[in-house]
Amino acid sequence: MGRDKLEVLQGTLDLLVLRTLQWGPRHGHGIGQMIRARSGEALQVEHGSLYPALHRLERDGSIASEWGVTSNNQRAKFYRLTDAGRKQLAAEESKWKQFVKAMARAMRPQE
Amino acid sequence: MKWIHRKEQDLRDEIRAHLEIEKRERIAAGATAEDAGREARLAFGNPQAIREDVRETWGWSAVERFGQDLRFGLRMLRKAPGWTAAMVATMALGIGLGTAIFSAVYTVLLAPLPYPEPDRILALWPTAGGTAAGRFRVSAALWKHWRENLKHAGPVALTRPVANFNLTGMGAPERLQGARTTFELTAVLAVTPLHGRYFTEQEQLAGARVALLSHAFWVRRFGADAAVVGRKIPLNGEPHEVIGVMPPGYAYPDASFELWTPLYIPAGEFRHGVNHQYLAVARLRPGASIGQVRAEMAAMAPRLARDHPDVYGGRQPVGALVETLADSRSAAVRGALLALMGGAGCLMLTGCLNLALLLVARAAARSREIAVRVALGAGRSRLLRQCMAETLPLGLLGAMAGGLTAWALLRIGRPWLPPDWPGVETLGLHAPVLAFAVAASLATVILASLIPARMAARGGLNEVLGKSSRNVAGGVGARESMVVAQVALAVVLVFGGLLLGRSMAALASVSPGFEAEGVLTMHLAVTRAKYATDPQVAEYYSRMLTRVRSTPGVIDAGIVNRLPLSGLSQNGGAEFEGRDGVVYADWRTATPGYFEAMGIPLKQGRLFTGTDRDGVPPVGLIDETIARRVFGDESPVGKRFRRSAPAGAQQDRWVEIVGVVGHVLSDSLENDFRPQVYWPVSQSTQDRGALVARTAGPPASYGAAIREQIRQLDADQPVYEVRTMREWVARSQRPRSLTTALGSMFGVGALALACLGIYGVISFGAARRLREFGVRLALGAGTGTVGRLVMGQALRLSLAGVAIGLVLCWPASLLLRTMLYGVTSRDLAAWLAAPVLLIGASLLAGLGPALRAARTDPAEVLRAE
Repeated sequence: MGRDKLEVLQGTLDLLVLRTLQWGPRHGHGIGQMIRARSGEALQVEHGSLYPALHRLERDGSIASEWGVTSNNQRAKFYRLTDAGRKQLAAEESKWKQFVKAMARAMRPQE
Repeated sequence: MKWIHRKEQDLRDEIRAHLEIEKRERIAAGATAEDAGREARLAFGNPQAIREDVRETWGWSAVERFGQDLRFGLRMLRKAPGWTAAMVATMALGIGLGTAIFSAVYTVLLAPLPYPEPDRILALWPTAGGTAAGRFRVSAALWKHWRENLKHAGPVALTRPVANFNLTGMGAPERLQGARTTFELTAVLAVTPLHGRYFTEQEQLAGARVALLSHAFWVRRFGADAAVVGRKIPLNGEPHEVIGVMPPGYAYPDASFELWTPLYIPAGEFRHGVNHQYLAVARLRPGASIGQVRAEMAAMAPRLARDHPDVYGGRQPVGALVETLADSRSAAVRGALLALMGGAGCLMLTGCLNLALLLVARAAARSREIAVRVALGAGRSRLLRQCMAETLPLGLLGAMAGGLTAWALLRIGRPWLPPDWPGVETLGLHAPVLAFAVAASLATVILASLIPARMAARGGLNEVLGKSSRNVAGGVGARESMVVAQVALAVVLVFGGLLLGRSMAALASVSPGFEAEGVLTMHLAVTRAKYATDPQVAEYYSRMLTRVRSTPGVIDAGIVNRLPLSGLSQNGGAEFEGRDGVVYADWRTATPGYFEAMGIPLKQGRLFTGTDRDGVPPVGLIDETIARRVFGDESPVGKRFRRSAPAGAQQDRWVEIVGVVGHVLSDSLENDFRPQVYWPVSQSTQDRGALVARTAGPPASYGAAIREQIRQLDADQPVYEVRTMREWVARSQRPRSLTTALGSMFGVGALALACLGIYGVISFGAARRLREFGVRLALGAGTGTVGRLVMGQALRLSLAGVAIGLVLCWPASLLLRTMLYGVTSRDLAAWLAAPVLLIGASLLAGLGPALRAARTDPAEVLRAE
């Protein structure tokens, strides 16, 4: 693991998972890889955080899971976005954008 | 637990699948199979720890969390024992009373009769003049008519509930409560004997000497020996064959019946208008409805009136009241029960408001803590869950306390219940009743805890944290409106209690027309097989009375066919020679000594004497009411009267009026149904009656001596229901005593709860304004001004509550109307006293906090900030 790899910020993992699943069902390993790839290898998702997050989201009804087969014909548990999850994603996304703006403003160098 | 196992396995599979996929990827990228597996595992991390973290997110830990909250709730209860005691006491009162009343409502109104398809069993009552006011008994002729013409109901069974059986010659003589019935009864109720069989139509028509025993009697007298079937037992001196034993629960007409024999109806009795002495029940035919039976009955009425114009014609065509047997049984008490249930409901609501007030007070004290929790991310549902977990133990405690209270109330109250209340013997904490107690207390607590939870969830962080601790009011408006509601409910309950209490007081001053004090009574029925002729019975009575009068301490004694206020009656028309019209009167036969013993005053002429016997010109007495109504200012002495009989039937003989006696209330102190006419027993003999003895000392202590006199005269003479006349009077008032006691309890309980509520809110409000009071005092306001400020709040709250309560009193008074005696629902005293009591009590409750506020030391309060 390189030095420039970033830990996923507390609270943003859910948003990342939901966002990833927007492109279709995916298994746990796939979700982790996807986040890493789309962040330009910058974001590192610990499995120790990913799986609890997946199960929590499933419990809350944002995502659902079922067993399926990968393109390589391997068995895996696939997660997909539910309607409630889609709504949550939209809400979290706009919150996130506000947060980023606010952070940027706050971190602006003093004049 | 299986569910958690499956999830666990699923998680293992998921992790294994993950590792397999990653291994395959690494192999594809050029690693060896061995390295790929190891690297995949390394990259994954510690599966054990991950599994642990995942498990955390499952529902299982939510249950654990709830358990923690529950423990926390219990700890809170233990930490504030005074608060907990107040909560539990409130619930014990509200839930206990409510549950006790509900158990009565359940057994009387809701519990199904112990017969198959009980809602298809109908009770049929004749009505006159199209009014369904009373439930009159049916005549044999009318029963025959219904039985032959009803198409939607059948069979129709007839029962004569007044039938006495002296069980003699088998040890101690005993009088049994029995009924004579037609053979159809077993089919109508759809109950077959536990042992043996019911009697057949042939046996019934022939009046066969056969008998069926109740289960209780069979157990009591024959030790539940099935071999009793087929044995002969001596009833009224004649051997009757026991042909069956009915199952437990079989209780027709009611649970006091121990014996059933065939009903033999003499052919001469099938005449319309005579002997309305029977009960009729029928079963709905399959597919038929009660409405169809009612329609049939309505269609029958004009035809009966046309065919028997002398009986049913004119203004009183005969109709019929058709209702289910269960409705018929509970008809007399339904109104009172529903009113009591309404009262109990109001009291429970008052209690619930008190709980809510106490919970709100606590929540207000904790509002900072709750606000911090919300700020730290506790969800609404999480807060609600915690609120529930904390109040759940309270609810269970309350249910337990309420259940215990109800149990105690039932134990204490049961002997006070009128014995003719249907199902009173099965009264208890049945499963539905207990479910009611638990549901009521949980609903109360949860409802009461939702209010503070909602308030906490609504109040934002800034709002709460921004204020200094002293200013955290926590829904003052909500609390004040709860107190106002409490006061309003209390006004209604106090008002109802006052109306009932005043009715009872009015009743206490009613004179029954006799001197109840110092009189002992007992019932007896003569065994006709032994004393066959009327002169023999009269002679037997006379010898018995001579013996009883000779008992030391007995002042006088006599026998009457029906004792006043004993619930038994015999009545019919009386007509007076040369006067039009018929007076509906109690038909009484009495021996010399009866009037003296009972203390019924002689107004004119003379009483019965030993010379009024068979063979001399017949005589009679009338009461003052008839004397006034029929003869006006004329003296009735020397005039003649007789029982009225339908035209064409055999007429009674005329008897000469030799005296006028005082009027007696013979059915109840509350209703004066009929005046009385009397014949001497020696000239108009009946084989059943009550012996009354006036005694020098406490009457109850003479029971054994008098019974011994009777036993010495005839060892086979059963004597039953030995009671003082005072007791009979009290028994006749039992339902009223009970409702009045409960009504007053509701009133006092609601008053106490409302006072508690007002005290809590006022003292809390005063504590909040302590600083303001300090400033006022520092600026020169007198202590009186501060006290008045506090009292003003108490007055304002109670006035608002009283205003609302008085509006609610009107419908409540209408509900109570049938239970009132001597006062009307417009009773001024109750309308005035209820608000005055409430306002007075509220001011009293506000006094403590007001005095405390007036004693505020401004220096101390202002420095404390």
